[in-house]
Amino acid sequence: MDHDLTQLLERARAGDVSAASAVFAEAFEQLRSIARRHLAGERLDHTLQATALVNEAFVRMVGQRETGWENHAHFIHSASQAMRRILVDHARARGRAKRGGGQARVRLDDGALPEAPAGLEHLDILALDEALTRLAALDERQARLVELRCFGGMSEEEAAELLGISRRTASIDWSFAKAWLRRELSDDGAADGPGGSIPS
Amino acid sequence: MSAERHKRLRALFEAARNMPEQDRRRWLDAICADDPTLADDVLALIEEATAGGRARTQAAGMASAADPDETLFSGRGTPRARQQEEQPRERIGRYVLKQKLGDGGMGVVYLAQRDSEAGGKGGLVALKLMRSTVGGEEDRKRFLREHRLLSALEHPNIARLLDAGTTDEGHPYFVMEYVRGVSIDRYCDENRLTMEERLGLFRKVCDAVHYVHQNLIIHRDLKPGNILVTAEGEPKLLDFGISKLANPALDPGIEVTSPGFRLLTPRYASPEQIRNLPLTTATDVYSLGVLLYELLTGHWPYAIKTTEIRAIERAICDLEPEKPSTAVARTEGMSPDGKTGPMDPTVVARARGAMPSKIRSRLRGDLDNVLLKSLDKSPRRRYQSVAEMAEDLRRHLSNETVRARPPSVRYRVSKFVRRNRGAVIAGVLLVLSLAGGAAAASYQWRRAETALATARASEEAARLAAANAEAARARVAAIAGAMVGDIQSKIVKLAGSTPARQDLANIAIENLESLLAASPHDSSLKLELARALNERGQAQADRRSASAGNPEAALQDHQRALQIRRDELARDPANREIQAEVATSVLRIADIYRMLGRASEASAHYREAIDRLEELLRSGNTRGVRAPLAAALAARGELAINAGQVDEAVAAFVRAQEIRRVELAEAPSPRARRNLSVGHLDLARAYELMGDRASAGDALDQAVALRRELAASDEQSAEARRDLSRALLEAAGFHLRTGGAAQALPLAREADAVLTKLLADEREGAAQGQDAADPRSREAWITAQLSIASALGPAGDQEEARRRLERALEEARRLVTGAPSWIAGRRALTRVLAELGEVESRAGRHELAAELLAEANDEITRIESLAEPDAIDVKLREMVRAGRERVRERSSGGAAPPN
Repeated sequence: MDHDLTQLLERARAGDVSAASAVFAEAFEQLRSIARRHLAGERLDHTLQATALVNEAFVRMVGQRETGWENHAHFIHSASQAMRRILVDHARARGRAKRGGGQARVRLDDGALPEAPAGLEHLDILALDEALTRLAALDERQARLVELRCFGGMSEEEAAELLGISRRTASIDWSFAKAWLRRELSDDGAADGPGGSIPS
Repeated sequence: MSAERHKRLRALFEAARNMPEQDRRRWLDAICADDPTLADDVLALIEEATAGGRARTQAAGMASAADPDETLFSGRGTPRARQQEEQPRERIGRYVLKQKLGDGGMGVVYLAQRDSEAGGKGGLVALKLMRSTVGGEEDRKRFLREHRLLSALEHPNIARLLDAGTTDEGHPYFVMEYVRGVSIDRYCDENRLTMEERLGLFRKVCDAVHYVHQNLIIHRDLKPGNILVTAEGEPKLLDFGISKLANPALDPGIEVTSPGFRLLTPRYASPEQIRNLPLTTATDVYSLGVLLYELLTGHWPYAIKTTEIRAIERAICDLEPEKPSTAVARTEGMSPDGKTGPMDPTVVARARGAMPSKIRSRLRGDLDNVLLKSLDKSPRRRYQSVAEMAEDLRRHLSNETVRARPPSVRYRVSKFVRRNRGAVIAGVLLVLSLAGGAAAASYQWRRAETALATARASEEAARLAAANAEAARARVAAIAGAMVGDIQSKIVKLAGSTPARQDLANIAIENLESLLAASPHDSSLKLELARALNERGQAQADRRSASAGNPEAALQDHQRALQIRRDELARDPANREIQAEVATSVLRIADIYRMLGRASEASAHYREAIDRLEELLRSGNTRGVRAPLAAALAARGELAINAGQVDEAVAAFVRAQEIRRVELAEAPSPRARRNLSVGHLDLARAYELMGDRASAGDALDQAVALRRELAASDEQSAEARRDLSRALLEAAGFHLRTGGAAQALPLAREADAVLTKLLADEREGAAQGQDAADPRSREAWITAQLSIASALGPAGDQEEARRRLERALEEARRLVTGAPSWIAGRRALTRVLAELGEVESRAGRHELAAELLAEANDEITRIESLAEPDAIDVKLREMVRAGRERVRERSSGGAAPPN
């Protein structure tokens, strides 16, 4: 597998869409199995460290071999999307399990996301997911940046390089997107009751 | 919300987030006039971003000392009254901050007091804390060095710089004499100063500015807010050189935060500041002109109805200032805070203690002339110094004749024509050709076609009508062609004609396309269209054009033209004319690829162009073929050198020289001779890379010989003398690189002699304090001194080397002060510093050597902050690094200087 993955990554990097989605699918599977092991019966918000999981998945899938920064970065790109979906799925599952009573929210606690947007720590991950989707419709790059930083654990510099933008631009995008999301989510929070944004 | 709006939100967020709060609101309101909710959203987002950031810092339990914005400006967001009650108790350096005086784009100004520990209560001072930071230890040293220069300024009308330093966080601060006063414009209006009093006050400002210019410092940010008037009526200038000192890469007049957004309204910025050209003291003359204009008329020199920053910039660069005597009667104007609105001429006049008609007649004549002269778009046509301007005002006040003359009608007309040459010629010819030719022709054509349609009955009539239609159409095409060809070639050489060329080509293309729609198989029309496309492509690729060229669009035009021409050639393969046109198209495309840095595509096209042109040449077609062929070969060689294919480069250069020789033999001209000498220099470089020193030396000798002839045949031409010195210095450099210091020395000395004479000639008769010599000549002279010093080497006369380098250093510093963002000047300064450091180090003066090399290092950093460093800068950095290494070795080893 790991040999194939390196090839897939090379092709994805060259712009091959089907290779990119294959990487995504593979990353998704791997991440989910790792996450399942980590999460067995435990509470998500204390044990799920997105960065750690993504890195673990990378090592398992590609091995420790030298694959070059671009490959690594490309993998994280896919893995951070996968991570986002896993967290969202997980939140939905918990929402279903607890429906009808009590707190159904999954929070973006510091433990879960190394770069939980300041002020967003106690917000609903589903609401964040939806807000991110809205952001992507307005500005794909900003949404991607948030995804990379929140779910892929990339530093500002790495994310900037991967997105092909300057560090300065990344830094402004980041503070802009965070402010935008915070506003977006605080509006939502006011409008919806607890758990209101969780679809069944 | 649309993506479009989101994008705008993001851009405004970036531009506004670091502005002081009160400016931010105002600025956003002005920018978002079309969508007020946008301004609210931007403000909310900025608030969210800063509030969130602060919450996080506190949550993380971090002491918020890292960011002075957090500690010093902690009053931010609290009500104004409270903010004043709780005066910040902070200290900076030896100063206790007492009160915030103001908040500007670049920093915050505090009223402060020198600490009593240092002996007795200090007096009150103004302390300006900059938002920018200075980086490492070396930046800091440079900062202090330059600050010493400024603190030496002493003049009764200049607020003295008392102290400067950097906070622990790296923010520079300046301590200035505290001036109690109001800005000069407010002072004048509030005290209802008469025109005479305003002029008197302004002359004092001129004295102060002139004093600073004599110290080789340009203010660059003269505006009412920087000129306070005390209760005693004394003007005091603030902030001389400070903004530049704190942030050398930024021009304060035009503080750019993101493309398209400029923080400050550049009302007082000069055209050269807007265009980001090298600045001289003439830039301050211009800003003073705007200031005096406003003090006297109450209006900005350009009557524009919007305060949109681009409109302001366009006005500064393109509009002629209105005569002050006319402007004073405007009923609409820009208030000091930059808003436009109705303005009452009687109010303006009353503030000057007179009736409007009185003010108008007071301005008419002398003052009109003085102001218009100081506001000329061309720095050279302005007053050559601030003193000269002040002198003219004195003459005016004592009823002597002023030097500034009203522009004569002839001058004005010629200036208009000069400025709008392309448009004027195009306009005149267009009108003439339409009236006399095309209109008539197309009318006939249409009539003939109608005749053709209605006269089908008569075959004979139809044949006649068709012939008529054909003849008429041919005339339309010919006229369109003439417009594109002849007129274009006439205006192509004129600076600033590019937009006109483009318009003209657009008109031609439009007309030709509609003609083609009527007769799609007409090959002469198609070829005409290709010619027009070719012209528009050339205009779009022109880097002198206002939009700095649009090579991609140019490429499309050329490719379309090429396609048409190839098709036509396929139908008529023996047609020499079309062959030549295909070659031209290919060559243009190659040029654009080269401009875009797409080397392999450029090479391929050059190769095709060369093949086609050679083919034409072989078939005996020489007219207009040789020059493009030589140019294509030279470009091809250049690309080959960059690609490391030196053999190919030599082959191309050699062939180019053959062609140039024939050209020169057939039509001898200085131009042809110069072309040949350029070719020799190209060849020399290629041979040197190849390792063929003998051939490189030969080629250099020939280049030098040709340029000696050229310089001797036209002694007036500065260009020819500069060319000669360049060839000499190239040759000297070559010998230095290849171990021939002995051969290099006489060449470098000759270059020195040529340049010293050239500089003396250029400077002759120039006004004092103004360096009339071309910066390129000065830079070459510096290079000559460097070459001589290198050629003298460790064994040569060290005294001469030092003397020359010290003079070169002086010149280089002046050059850099006059044109701080000119990279070639900065490179020259760096080289001199490094070379002088080497000489001093050899003489055992390690400390001095280390200092010089440290400054050289600073310079490189500065160069790199001004532009993307290229190979030359990499080499320079390496040279300085090696120099510092040697100094360190020599001083630590205590080795005796080698002899």
